Amino acid sequence: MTRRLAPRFALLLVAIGGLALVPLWVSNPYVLSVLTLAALYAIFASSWDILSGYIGQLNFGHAVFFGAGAYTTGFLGPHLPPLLVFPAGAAAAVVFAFLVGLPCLKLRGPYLSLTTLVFPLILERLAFTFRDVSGGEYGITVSSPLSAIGLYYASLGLLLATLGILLAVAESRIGRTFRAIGDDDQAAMAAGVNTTRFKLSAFVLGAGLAGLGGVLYAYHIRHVGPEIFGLFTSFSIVIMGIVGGMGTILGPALGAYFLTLLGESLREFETYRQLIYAAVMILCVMLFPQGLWGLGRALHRLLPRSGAAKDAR
Amino acid sequence: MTALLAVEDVTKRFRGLTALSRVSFNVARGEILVVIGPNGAGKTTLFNVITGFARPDEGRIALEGKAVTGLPPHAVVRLGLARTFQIPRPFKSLTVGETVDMARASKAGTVVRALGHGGVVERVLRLVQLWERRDEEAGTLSQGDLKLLEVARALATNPALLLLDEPYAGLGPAEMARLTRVILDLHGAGLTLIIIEHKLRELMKFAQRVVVLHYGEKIADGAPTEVARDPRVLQAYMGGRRNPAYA
Repeated sequence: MTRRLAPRFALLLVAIGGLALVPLWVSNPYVLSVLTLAALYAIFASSWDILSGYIGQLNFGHAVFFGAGAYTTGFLGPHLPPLLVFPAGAAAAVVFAFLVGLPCLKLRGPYLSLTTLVFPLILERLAFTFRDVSGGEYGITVSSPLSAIGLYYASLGLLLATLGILLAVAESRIGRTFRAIGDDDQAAMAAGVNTTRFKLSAFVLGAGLAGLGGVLYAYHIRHVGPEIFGLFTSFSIVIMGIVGGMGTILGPALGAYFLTLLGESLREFETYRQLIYAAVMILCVMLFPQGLWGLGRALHRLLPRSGAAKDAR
Repeated sequence: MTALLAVEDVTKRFRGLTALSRVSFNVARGEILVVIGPNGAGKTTLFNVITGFARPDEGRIALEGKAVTGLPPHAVVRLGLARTFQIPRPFKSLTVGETVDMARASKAGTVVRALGHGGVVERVLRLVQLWERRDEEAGTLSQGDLKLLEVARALATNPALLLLDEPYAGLGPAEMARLTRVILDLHGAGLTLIIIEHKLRELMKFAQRVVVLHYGEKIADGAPTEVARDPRVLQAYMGGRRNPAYA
């Protein structure tokens, strides 16, 4: 449906273009670093959405995939040129997509979500146990081949590619099949869909993109440790997806920017930071159940129809 | 000539209950077979077993001589055996057109090609008179239209044999007539059909053969008029007082 796709691509290009211009005005390295982090979280949240938002398999363990990419960077970074670290990180994430995906295929709803929740916790334990390799709780120090500004543009580029690929897939016949499986997987089977293959494909696609993001994340943080598999990391991706608007690809990316920037801008409130953050989150979910993306769409519908503004849905 | 579908000694048990007990029958190409039986007779279980949604405990099912027993549902569909559900199961986040497009096989089969003109989606949706509504969300259709969308979705997969699970249930008279026309058109285009129904009345017009299930057993198999006079069938329906043709 190019009808829906064209305005989204246009919006995406404008947004990324705008973000690309930010360093021309802002030279504060802290701001740049936060924006890089937001772009990376946007990659994680949107790649989470293809499985969770479209097929409806709420995944609480997306950290496994970008964590695999990040640890791969820690392990291989000193030995391989960066251009090879990226495919290696994606490959590691894809291996985990099969490890997590296969047992999850038979599960549905809360059983599936609980199972996905367990995987990052297992990896967190493993990182503590095999400290000779993983550095235990200290993790591994990573040296970045890129400057801060290089990292900023690399993450923007990867975000653009990620969102472009995911949007194209989501609005294709494959994406509609994903949604059909999410609506009713038995009916999808009756329509001749090999639901197992489609679910695994969504796991693999989401994981691969998250793995690439994980490599950049490790370069950006200059470190990888077991906290990447912590409960908070996995939950924050789910929250970004829900606050942004599940099943829309661009929504979760928007949610990632919103919550990352909100979290950082609240630093001056110190003690109350978590409290305010949580309150804003709850308000978002209560007031805009369709997420920020749904809110934007509702506002858009209120605008008078003019020019290219015909994208009603 | 081998039968299009051969069901041989199929038994299916759920815990202690035997839902199907050594059921056998054949369906010839081009035939319309109607399966009737009181509630709980095992009709839907029979469909589930044939279409791969349930695995039979015993027995074999073959389509054009090829075993389909134990294949997953999507593989059964690709071999040419499609079904509808008794209670429509629409894809709520897709439009009518997207629903049929999603189910569409890569190439139109002979039955679909015999219908009208245009692409698979257009042919199939025109047949069920939903083409004009292709851009509406599937979830917003009326019960009657949802039933026809079920048929359209199944047809898009290019079946040689279509199984309809109580297609008339919950339809008004006008919708029933519309569905009957669709069934007759499909039959005319060469499709073989198995239709589950409670009542025979609407189907008496075109049923060529009737199989009667009762507590998981096949108790009659023959022409509608013969079956309607069968004492065991009369006994099964309403304790023998009423004729199933008019139940």
